[in-house]
Amino acid sequence: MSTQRMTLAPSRRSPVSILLAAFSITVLAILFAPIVVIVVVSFSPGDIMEFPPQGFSLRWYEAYVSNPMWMTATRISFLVATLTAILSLVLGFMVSVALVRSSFPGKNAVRIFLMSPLIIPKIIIAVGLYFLYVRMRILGTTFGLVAAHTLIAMPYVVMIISAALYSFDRRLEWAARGLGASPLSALRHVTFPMLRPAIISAALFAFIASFDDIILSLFLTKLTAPTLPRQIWVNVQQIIDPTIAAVSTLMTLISVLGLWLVALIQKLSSRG
Amino acid sequence: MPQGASLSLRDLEKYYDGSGAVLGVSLDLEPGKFLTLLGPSGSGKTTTLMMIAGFVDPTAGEILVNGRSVTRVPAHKRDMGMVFQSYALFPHMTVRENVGFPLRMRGVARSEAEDRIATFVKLVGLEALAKRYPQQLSGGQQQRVALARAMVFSPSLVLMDEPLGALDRRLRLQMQEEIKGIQRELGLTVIYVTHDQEEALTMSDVVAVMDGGRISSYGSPRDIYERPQNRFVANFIGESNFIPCRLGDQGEARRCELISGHSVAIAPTDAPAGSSAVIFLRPERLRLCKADDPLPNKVPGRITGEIYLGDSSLYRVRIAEGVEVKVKRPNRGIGMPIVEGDELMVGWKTTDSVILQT
Repeated sequence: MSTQRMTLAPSRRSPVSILLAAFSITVLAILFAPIVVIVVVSFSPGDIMEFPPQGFSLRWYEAYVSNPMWMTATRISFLVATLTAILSLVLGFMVSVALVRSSFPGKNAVRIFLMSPLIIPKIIIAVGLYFLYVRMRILGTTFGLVAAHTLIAMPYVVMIISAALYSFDRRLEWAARGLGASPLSALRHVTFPMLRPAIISAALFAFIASFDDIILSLFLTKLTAPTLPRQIWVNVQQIIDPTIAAVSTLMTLISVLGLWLVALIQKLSSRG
Repeated sequence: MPQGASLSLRDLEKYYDGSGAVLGVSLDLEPGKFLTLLGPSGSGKTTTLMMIAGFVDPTAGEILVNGRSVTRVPAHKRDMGMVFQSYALFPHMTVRENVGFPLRMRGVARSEAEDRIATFVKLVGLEALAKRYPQQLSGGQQQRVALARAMVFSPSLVLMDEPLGALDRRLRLQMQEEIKGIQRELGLTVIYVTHDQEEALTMSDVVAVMDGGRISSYGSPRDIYERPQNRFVANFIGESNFIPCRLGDQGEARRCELISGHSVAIAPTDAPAGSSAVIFLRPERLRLCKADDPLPNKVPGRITGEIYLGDSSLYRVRIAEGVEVKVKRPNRGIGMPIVEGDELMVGWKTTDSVILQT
């Protein structure tokens, strides 16, 4: 018996598994190194980016908060990401209902079309939208950027909501309607509350998709009204000071918080 | 005074892409009655129920509740309580909230709603669990919640789609009694769909046996079981014997001739003389007896097998070349022991037989 078990599950300290662990740690280290460096540098007291820093201070965070340019960019980023989350959620929900619950000619083509922003290089979307927006005279507008970000956020929303709708037991809606709920009340009292985890996850993903984007922002925003990533980009080209590290740290924190929320919601709802 | 409504279906049809699921169903049900739509899967029973509920639009025909057509009324305005096999409880609501849902949708005043919820939660025996969520309940308890939720608003009809299908046998029998008890007490009109013939027989006032989108037979459980109108119904419900025969001349004491050449008396039938038919007999209405038994119809047979069922035994008896009948005999521990190979008579009363034309 014991010899059999040995052959089935090799001991943890076999050379192969040690090698595998070393490799994994190396990959993780390479992935995390830039983030660690940025976070550490952001707390440096000196005037230039140096690693390791000669002490600890929050002066670059203060510099970020007290600089109206950074604050404008932050406000724009939050505004655009929030509007993107709302718009892509509304559109994505309706599209998902159509994709999951009805059949129409070309349904698969529509699904693939909606997923295509995941595959097509963002730069191509950016260039295409740039020329389109010039013609439409909406280049540099908040609406233009929100529309563009909605485009790249839609695949996440549609994927998450469709999956939730597929596993949603439609008999619950029938039951609600049979019990006197109009289609709208059934949606409000039964479908939405039950899909809430998926809806929140989708909104967070859409928010992050917009918040993290640099390529579309580079092409579609005005220099006077940039998003946070674009402001970082501009600053890196002009003066390199640790404010960028502070901003980057905060941005990373927001994305990580968002993903952590998604994971938490999924954990809670699967336990529910 | 029953609180339930009457239901009438008029030539109800449903076609999906040209193929018919329901092909002209008509029936009239009095208020306060328990109707079961019984049939194998694909017989159209669930589609019929879904049309009554308003979840499926009929291709043709009318649905009348208390004489008023509801055919074009949307589901949520039909005032019917529905119980699904999957319970369909709202997982994000407690037992109380689930039961209160239809009242909330109808804008019933809070104090009245509280009273009604309490009454019905108590009726199904779940007072102690009222604050739990569905996932914290067993299957039987969940189905009780679904029942309370379907009845709390005094619906005109209560519709049930195989509500006990997911429960084990013991619980199913208990729930059958409970449902029947509540239905009688409140005078509810219930439309019940099942493929379980036993359930149909024990619970219903009226059984509609469905086959291929039509009602194949309609009547009380006793009629359906004891006097089936055709071979499908006889076969579908319970164990049956079909003994081929040729009918004799019309008249008072009509007889027919079996393959073995024996002549037996039959119940009156319109079928013409000389036509072939089958004699339908339930295994428990047949008796194994000796040649001097006073039963009017007896044919000789040989025991070819026994299935022991506990309270009774089912014997296979060959009464002619290629003709075997099943005879059910209660295990009372009296009478002669019977073993395979015994030569005996199989006898029956004329009134227990039904002639079915082939």
